[in-house]
Amino acid sequence: MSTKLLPLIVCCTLLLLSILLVPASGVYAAIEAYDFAGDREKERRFKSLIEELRCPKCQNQNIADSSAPLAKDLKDRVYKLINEGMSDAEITQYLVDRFGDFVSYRPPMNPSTWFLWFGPLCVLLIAFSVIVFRVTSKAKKTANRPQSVDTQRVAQLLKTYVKEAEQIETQGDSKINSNDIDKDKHKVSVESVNEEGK
Amino acid sequence: MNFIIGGRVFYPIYWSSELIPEIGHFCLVIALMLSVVLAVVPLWGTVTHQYRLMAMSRSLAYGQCTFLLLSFFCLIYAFVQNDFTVSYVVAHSNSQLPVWYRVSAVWGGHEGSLLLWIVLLAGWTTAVARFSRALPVDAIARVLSVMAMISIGLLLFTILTSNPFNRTLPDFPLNGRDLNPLLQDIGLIVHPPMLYMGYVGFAVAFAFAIAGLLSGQLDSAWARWSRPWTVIAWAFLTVGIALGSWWAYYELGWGGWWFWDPVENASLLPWLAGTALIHSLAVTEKRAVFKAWTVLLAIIAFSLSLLGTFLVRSGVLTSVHSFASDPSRGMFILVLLFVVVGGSFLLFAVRATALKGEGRYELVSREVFLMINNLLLMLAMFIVLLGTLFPLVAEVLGLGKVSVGPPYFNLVFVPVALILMVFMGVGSLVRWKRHGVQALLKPMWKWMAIAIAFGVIAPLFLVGDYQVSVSIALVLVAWVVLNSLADMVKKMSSSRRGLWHGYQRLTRSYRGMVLAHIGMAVAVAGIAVTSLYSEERDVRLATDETVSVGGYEFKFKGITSVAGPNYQAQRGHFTISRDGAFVAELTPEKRAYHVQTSMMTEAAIDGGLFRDLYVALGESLGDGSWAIRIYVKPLMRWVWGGALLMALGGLLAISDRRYRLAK
Amino acid sequence: MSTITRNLLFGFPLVVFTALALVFFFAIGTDSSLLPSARLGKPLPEFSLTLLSDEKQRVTEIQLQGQPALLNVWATWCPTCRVEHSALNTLAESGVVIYGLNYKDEREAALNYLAKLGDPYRLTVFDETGDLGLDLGVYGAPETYLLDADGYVQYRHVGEVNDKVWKTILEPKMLALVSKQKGELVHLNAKQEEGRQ
Repeated sequence: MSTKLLPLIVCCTLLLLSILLVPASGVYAAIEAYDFAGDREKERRFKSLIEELRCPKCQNQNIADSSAPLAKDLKDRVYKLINEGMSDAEITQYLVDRFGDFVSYRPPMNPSTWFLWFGPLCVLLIAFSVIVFRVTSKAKKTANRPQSVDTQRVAQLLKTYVKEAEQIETQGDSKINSNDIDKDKHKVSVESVNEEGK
Repeated sequence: MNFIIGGRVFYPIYWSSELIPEIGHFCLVIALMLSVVLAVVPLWGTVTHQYRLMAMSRSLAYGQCTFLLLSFFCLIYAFVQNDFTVSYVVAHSNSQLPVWYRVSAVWGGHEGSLLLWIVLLAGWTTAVARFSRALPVDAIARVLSVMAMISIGLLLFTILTSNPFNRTLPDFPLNGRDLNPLLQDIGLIVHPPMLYMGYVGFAVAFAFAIAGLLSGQLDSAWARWSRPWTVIAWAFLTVGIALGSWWAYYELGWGGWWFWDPVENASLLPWLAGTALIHSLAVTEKRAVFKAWTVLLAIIAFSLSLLGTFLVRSGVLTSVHSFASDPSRGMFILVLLFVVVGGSFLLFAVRATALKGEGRYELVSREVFLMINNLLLMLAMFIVLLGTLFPLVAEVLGLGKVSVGPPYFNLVFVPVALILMVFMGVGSLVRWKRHGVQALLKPMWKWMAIAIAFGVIAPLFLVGDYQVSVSIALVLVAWVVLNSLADMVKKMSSSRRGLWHGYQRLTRSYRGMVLAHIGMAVAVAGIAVTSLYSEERDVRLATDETVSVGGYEFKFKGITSVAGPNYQAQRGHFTISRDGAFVAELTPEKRAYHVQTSMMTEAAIDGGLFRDLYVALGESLGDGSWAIRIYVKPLMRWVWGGALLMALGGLLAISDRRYRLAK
Repeated sequence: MSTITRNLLFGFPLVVFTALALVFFFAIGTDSSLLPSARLGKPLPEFSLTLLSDEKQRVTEIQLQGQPALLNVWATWCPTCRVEHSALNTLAESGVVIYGLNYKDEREAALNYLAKLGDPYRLTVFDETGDLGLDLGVYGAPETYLLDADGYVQYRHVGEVNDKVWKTILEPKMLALVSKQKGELVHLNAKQEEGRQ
């Protein structure tokens, strides 16, 4: 298998190299220079705003990337509103009033979008508590068992268990995974025997 | 030798290359019939314990694959020969198109890409048949049968609704409508096959899971058989996604490399589920626990591949990438989705309840850490799924039209990914079953300190304002890299014969894991830095003017007119220097194509290990000045480089002796 | 864990998927690129533009009030507008009040277009810059807005208006508006007639 994989690995390496080295080409985009008279903060706000606004005409592009005439109109309007001193939130609201929530890539926060915003958190909490509950209840079950141990029986079981483990180990499969095998196999065996001994 | 009867030309039936599309169509039908036999007969053999029936599965798989390949070559032949009597060729090719683009145009549209999907599925089926000689005959019979069932569904879909061999006869056009110029590109030749290899590859893990549910045999051996297949599919998917992102970056000219577009999300969904599956399979293989969960993940990963196919081809979501939609196709593939996914979940609900884990483990153990890994990956998957489908669900429920885009994903997805990094740093160091908290954390304190110091200091060396979020990401990147390397060095130094010997003693699956984790860290570093430290300016420049962006001086030296083979271009000349020293000469172009009368802007990129310089030419603004887009994107290549490291890690891992499939 | 909770847990993926499949079932075939107007139930935006036919005469939203009407957004560069133009002419002949909004166009070209294909519009607002279009939320010509007598937007149709669209969508809505507006009057008339009898 490993020799068969060699060509694949070589191919991937070549791909890696090609990605790092090949200068790229062939582009289709709308590029317009909006002049903010050296006000870099306004320029930055403009750029991030037009990247968050969805072009209503195009399939799924923001107005920064779209070359549709409507996207140009919207950019002009955002430019004008920024220069009039409106805040980002006001500008977004201005456009939402005209084109609906669709125009903003940032979904609004209202009862109909609660699941969108808080659903992931709920899923996380539920799943996390399930994990904690399952693992700890398992651990509790083990802990609640009586502590008195028949030491003689444990010693006997331990002997046979270790012997078995050694046999398995010499059978070869585990030799291959030597790194993945627990270094403290014997220690663990003692524990499992303890449990069985109860 | 023709007969003319009543003014019509009749050809005698003899071999004619004009019949090639019919032969292709015919091969599809034969492949469908073989799939039906493969889906039924070996499975019947497993029920009635007839060895001969089960043993037929391999030959049937080879036969099915042969006829599908024949069919695929017939379609390629039609493209190469410019056979404009075939409607699919008319729609996606042109006699002027170079021959290699004519070949790649085969998967440039819905019908052909669907055929590619099926051919790859048959390829995977054949690979399973060929490389799983160690498997019991009943197991292989079940797996191949399940894969044939999927094949039946998709072949029916192709033949009934999307036949690529449909003719335009009797009035065929003299030339084709040409391939979309954006698709005439090396990235688009390679990207779809890679991506589909990944999508379809999860069908193998799926088939193993369903076969396991059918037989009730879901043990360590089962996990060991399906693991390498899953990993190799995952590696292809990783490369496929990275290639798509790279293509979007240089071809679309927006300078972006990920847009959270529904179609991109559709490829990310199976990737996230597949990543969870790889880790969960590791637990099931080593410790024989989480069996039901692993089976569920295998079903989910492939279901998400199918879901992606559905979303792209049904037209239910708006995307830049989607194929021309057709409600009848959408309905067909929804039924297919319902049968495959619904049936699997039903089987899961009925059969998986009987599965019980055997091993024990405590709260601090590799098992629990991998559980957390799975939880976070599936949460990330859930977020992407929710964000992608929410607009659709909201519209159907009458809650209005909303758009869910980058702001949502950045706010909700990114934190989950970062938490995942925290656990990734520790997870591979924790022992199975149990690990003392003190023993685990003691060697980590110093790495934690170094990682924090690195993360806090590193952003100071980047051009731009200090970004706390980048600092956090870099802490986690360093955390993952340091812990992975420290653990590897520790394992290597356990050998008395020196580090190199120690390295050679490491299993390939371990080395692969370390490589993949480091690849992830590299990608995260690239994503964080390039997202927040890119300088992106759209400026107005006149000849001989200079603009300083991201510490580089871009001097506009003017425009020259250049005549290309089939276009007239205006070429901008830029000299880029840093602190007076020459760095690069870039010549972006703006082309007017004669035939298509369309304008294309051709950006010029100076790619480097640590930064990309990107210049694109916009409109002429009169008075000799031009609108120019200039980007300086630090660590841009790390995003894709990291992804490739991950894929390489996966390939390294499955070359482990443990998975020698044909032993 | 009890058997029931276990069964519920294992059946959960099936339930979720089935719900999702239902959503897909209803989503197939609907055109997801159509947007409802954000102006529904709101008055037309305020504007003061010139008439297409007379660049000296200004027109405001007030002039579009008085009776339920259609406001058709069109341009000479829009191919679908040309397709629907004859349908609009027929509607105008049958007495439907249609206002035009000439959107991002050239006056000369637009006047020639109307001279050649006929003028169904009671008056046409000339919106050269597209500012009114943007305020109205126009995202692609042709669009046809249904206004009530007070100039409130009651409905928007995106795309071609033809006989089918008129019969199935616009006419019922328009009749409802007309009867609402004339409701009182009709009611009054009926009473008077009753009184006569």
